[in-house]
Amino acid sequence: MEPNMTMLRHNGLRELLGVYALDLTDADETAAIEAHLPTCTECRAELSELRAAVGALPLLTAPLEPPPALRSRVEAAILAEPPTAAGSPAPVPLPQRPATPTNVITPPPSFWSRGKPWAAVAAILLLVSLGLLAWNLQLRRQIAALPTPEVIALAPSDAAPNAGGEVRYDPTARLFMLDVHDLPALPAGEVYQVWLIGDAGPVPVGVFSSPTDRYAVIADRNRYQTVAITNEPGPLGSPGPTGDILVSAPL
Amino acid sequence: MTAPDVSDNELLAAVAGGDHAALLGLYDRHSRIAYGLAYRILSDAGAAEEAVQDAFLRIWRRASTFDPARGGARSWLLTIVHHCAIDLHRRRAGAPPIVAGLDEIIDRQATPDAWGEVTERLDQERVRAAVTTLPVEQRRAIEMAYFDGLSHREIAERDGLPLGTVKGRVRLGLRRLYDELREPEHATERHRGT
Repeated sequence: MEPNMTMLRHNGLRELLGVYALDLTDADETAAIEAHLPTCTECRAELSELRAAVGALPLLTAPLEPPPALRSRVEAAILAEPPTAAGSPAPVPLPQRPATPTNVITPPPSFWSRGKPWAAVAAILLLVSLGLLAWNLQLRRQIAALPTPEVIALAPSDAAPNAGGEVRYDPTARLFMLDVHDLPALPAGEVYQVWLIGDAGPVPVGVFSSPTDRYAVIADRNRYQTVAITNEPGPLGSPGPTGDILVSAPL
Repeated sequence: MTAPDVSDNELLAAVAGGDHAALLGLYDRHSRIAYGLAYRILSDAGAAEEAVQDAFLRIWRRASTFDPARGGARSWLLTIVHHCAIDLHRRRAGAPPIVAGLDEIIDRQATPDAWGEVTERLDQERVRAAVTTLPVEQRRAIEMAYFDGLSHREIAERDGLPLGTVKGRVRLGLRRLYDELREPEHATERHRGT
């Protein structure tokens, strides 16, 4: 009963992917799809194609020259925005004046009480936020220049002594790519199932059936400590791992 | 005004760093498509201007949520223009918004699209030619969703169709469009019998 309902659910959600790619699903449909996507490579692959097609639709319209005044209004609007709205980190909070213990001589007037410190504060904040902006840009350049994502070896086990492979994690896409080879042959009707193991226990993220394969999972690395593959009853695997761990890797 | 060899992605990354000139550079490059799209949806010059202005302000504010590594800055930008225009169109028509927040939708554009940079090189002629290969009912469903902002339920009601039929037409139409744009010479073979 359980696998059939899961399959029906998958089929039903898959039918909605076109509408979802157009951002026209309602709140409940959206929540259901977004809960399903991390566990289903088929739906994620299809969604990416559907989004690409949606991305082409603006080109169906004829370009039209807007009035020059529109450009001025856009410029005025963005110039009116506060600097932090452009995405730099929030400014450093103002330092608090320390509380004065009663048995200590009152310290001399601090910087903050000496007349009008606000211009100086503004100057400091500007310097800090410019510094943070520069750091942010630098970080973005570094991320863009990363040659390859970090690679972690998949360790074999007694149940799969010849198996091996690698996990690559791409932090900008929050994508794990597993390349696995020489998994032991599956008993009839079973599949290999991938698990991400975090504080809440193992989370199923998908199944495949070829002993040498590449498998992609979208997930946030910070939430998990281990990735593992077991063999499970097919066609959709199990809600929790029942088979032996075949390969695994720490994250 | 902007060097021709600076990519949209690079401009958008600069916008994320607070570069006003970069945002205006994106406007100069894409305002004609943006305004044309908004005008098609709204059929009113004033409303179209309002939608484009709103869109570029949101682009300014949320540029840092766009991941430059995944490609597709133009698609992301035009998606925001589209959604601002549809949002205004629905409000003007007295229709309720389909989902709560435009910002949530913008932030959700996280799934990388299948082609990244390839989408950026498409042109109007190619897309129009590809759309003409769609069965007319699929094309109509997509156009009602995309240019009128109608949900699958609203299309089903308007045309007296089962909900599943509408969902299927939208999905199959978009899949076919993807196949056609990716490999026009093979798409007709793959869809023989569809």
